[in-house]
Amino acid sequence: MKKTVLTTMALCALYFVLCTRAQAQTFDFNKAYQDHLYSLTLYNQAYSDYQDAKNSYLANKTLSLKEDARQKTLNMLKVRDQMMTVYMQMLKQKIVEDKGLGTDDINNIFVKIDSEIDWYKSDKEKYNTNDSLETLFGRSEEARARYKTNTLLTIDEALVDIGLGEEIALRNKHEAVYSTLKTAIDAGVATGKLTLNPFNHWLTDIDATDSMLKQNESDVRTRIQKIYNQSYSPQGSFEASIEILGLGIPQLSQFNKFLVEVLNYIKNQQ
Amino acid sequence: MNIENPSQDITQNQPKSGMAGVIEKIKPTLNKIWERVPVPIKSLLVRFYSNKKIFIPVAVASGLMFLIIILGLLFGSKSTPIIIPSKKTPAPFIVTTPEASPGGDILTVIGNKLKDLNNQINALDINQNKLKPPTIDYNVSF
Repeated sequence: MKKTVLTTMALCALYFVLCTRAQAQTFDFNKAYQDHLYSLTLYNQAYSDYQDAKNSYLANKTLSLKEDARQKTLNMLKVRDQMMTVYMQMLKQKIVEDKGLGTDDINNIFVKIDSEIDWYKSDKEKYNTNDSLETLFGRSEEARARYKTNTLLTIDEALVDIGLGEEIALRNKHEAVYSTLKTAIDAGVATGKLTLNPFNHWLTDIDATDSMLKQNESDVRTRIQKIYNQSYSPQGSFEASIEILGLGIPQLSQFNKFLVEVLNYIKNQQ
Repeated sequence: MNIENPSQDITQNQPKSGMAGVIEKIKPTLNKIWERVPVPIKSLLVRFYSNKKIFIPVAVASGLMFLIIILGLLFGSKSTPIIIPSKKTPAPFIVTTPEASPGGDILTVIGNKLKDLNNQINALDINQNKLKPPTIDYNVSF
């Protein structure tokens, strides 16, 4: 009889497993950003607890207060590693959803982001519940060095790449509109409703604007790589890249205005 | 005089009611089916039925499986029912970029698209302020 009951239970479980549709939650940038905000909140809380415990110990150096401070420090460091992992994953997700970047751009930055994620994951795993305060201070110094020499540079490059991707995506969209307009002009000229003049001059100017945008994008790519060059300061390279990236905005606006002008001219000729 | 008892006759001819009556009715049919079953299978079934230690668990398990299937059909996740409309299905409205023509709606579409793109340009945040790295205090020592 026991066998019967067990068989029945197993069958029931199997049925419910088969019937339950595993609906995987879609992981997108919004979800990644919410995760980042949550992990940031956890870190801020852990940091606040660490500060309180540290101040209490410094005010009254007892063994129990030292132990409390050690535990709070350990927790804060682990949460900090986790927070950095989540932050890097959010940047990665943003790049995934950025439509402008090419495969080479994406692969280049992903290798670096993944390397950072691996480091913080590994670092978190290395913490031991029995680590002394001195050991924890040393580990924090290691994290500081990593952040300064690798993580920050990767973050800066990722942020520039994200902006670059947005600009490229907008340029691509303008190019698509431009292509449609050129088709409309060709059709109008073929039917005699439009004349090639002044479009031939205007299209040359629009092409020049498009080329300037592409050149600007290329300049950004070159400049941001200098962040890894010892001859340049990382902060300076980042700011210079952002400055070049900023030049693309008026160029995009110009592209947009030219296309609006061409469109209005065609409309008036109808 | 041979007087027949009328009440006794009525009792004998009265049909049996409930399950017993149903069994009585289908018994001849079942007997016919049973007679047609080949002898080796018959003997196997008899042996299976006579061995209560096997027959009862198998019967209970089969019953439960049947019950689970019925419950699953009744309460399980139901797929969207297919509704056959009585009216003719309207032609689907497909949003596509219209083909370029010199004097049509395409110009309005392009106009709207350019306005939208201009808004996107104005909304660009080159500094990515939303994604700035968190401030971290690495000075952990006391």
